[in-house]
Amino acid sequence: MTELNHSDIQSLAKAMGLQIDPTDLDDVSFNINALLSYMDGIDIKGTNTINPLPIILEEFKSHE
Amino acid sequence: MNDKLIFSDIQFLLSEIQTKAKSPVDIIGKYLTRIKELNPVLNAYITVMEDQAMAEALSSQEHLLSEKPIGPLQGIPIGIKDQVHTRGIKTTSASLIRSEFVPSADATVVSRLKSAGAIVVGKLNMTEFAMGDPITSHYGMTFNPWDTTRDPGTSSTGAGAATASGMCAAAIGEDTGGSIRGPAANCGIVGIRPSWGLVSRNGLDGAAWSLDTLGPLTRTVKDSALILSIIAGEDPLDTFTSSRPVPKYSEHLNTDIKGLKIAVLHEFMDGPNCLLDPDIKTSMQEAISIFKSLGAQVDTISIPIASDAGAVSRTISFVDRVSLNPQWVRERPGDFHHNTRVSFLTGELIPAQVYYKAQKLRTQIRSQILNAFKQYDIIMMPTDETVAGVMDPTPGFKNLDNAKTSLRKSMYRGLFSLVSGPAISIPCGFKIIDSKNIPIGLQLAGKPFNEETVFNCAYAFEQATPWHNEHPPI
Repeated sequence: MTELNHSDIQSLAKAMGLQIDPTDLDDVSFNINALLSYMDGIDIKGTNTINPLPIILEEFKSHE
Repeated sequence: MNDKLIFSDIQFLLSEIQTKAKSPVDIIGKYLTRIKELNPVLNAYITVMEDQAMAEALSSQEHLLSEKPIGPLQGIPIGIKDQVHTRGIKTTSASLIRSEFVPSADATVVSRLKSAGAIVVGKLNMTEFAMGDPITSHYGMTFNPWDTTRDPGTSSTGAGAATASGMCAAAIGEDTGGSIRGPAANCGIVGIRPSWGLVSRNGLDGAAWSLDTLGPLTRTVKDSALILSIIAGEDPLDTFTSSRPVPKYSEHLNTDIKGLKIAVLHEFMDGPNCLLDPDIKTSMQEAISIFKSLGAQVDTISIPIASDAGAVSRTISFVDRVSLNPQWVRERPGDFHHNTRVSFLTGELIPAQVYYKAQKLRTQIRSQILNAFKQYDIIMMPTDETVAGVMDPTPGFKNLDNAKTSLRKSMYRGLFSLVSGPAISIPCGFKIIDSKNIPIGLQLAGKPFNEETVFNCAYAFEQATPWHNEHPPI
């Protein structure tokens, strides 16, 4: 995965209606690049075909 | 100072009250004095409710004299993490942004504690919006009572420090990715993250809806079981509470774990992603021997995907957290601590497909852990790979490697946050650094809604070891 530089990050932020102070850029860059590279490196068989469920649904059927 | 009152478990305090050896006023007065002495040192409380607590202690005393039924927590001093609503009392989430927020109603957990006779003595410090390090609190860092240069554990910093140092008999914390278990481990006490849906989150200023849980931090397993049975259960004000009946966990505790099947996850002891402190590894090996001597079967198993839990849980929690209050980082960026602002900005910038991949991986991770629970009653691992570190007040990651390390290390507690079942951290020894005892935490996890097995396993270990009798030298 290509690492995002400060300019890339500012462009992403602009698209989200955000302004990032230059004094925050280094740490935002460290944080998001660490996370994106880690997530990109996870290659588990079958992930693409999984239906994501944040919670265990069967516990809460009584509320439906 | 009567150390017995300050460091005893809730059972002892209740017996003192029930036998009229001590009154609620005596006990609340003792704890408020302790807070006055220690809070300037540890900074565990943001708000101390001295007048209100003493008024409630007097009322509790009158209640006892009237011979009316005694509540299961009658006169017991409790601290509440400052993201949990308390009627008429500021609930700041340790932030400037919420510094003037005064809830008009108690959270369900608070009202249940009060109904049981507990007395809230104050609102506990935490990391800002339950993210990042102790340095992010707008009200200053909380310090670890075992060594005041060290991290008390995040994000329920005050809950850990206050309970361990005798500034409350127990505390309510909130755990998204480990925020109850981390402070419990660092402060040498007991902290349980209950099953998701067991405890109402009504009145919680949340971090991530599918990960947040409220639970107790206590000095013993029995106290943990007692408080959980009081705060748990269906709540019409929280759609996602389970309608299952709640057992009286503390009444069913026993130390007989013969035949219990415990799995140790290889990835968290010797795996390629694991940099476990050798002293913690030794403590884990000793814990395994103790469980075997108690008649449990202990096997090592491997679930490679489990070691990705840190990155997965962080991805989800960053995005979920910022989605609750996206206006803050746009309208009031200067009112955050630098580190919290960085976390909020990161949550804004994570691409949708990465977030979606994290949710898919969560489902895979949970599925494989639940499969393991078909064979095993308990999964065991350290609560963290290192003991409490020395706090660095300088903001920021400083480099990419530190950011990567922080992500990787979060696998220890992130795993069971993703699974949605119960996970408890209990004391299991000390690492001695500069002649100081620095606590080590052991984590035991169970199937969703099987808190009873987790408590029994923890109780058997606690009763077979001396660690819960050790208290900070402060």
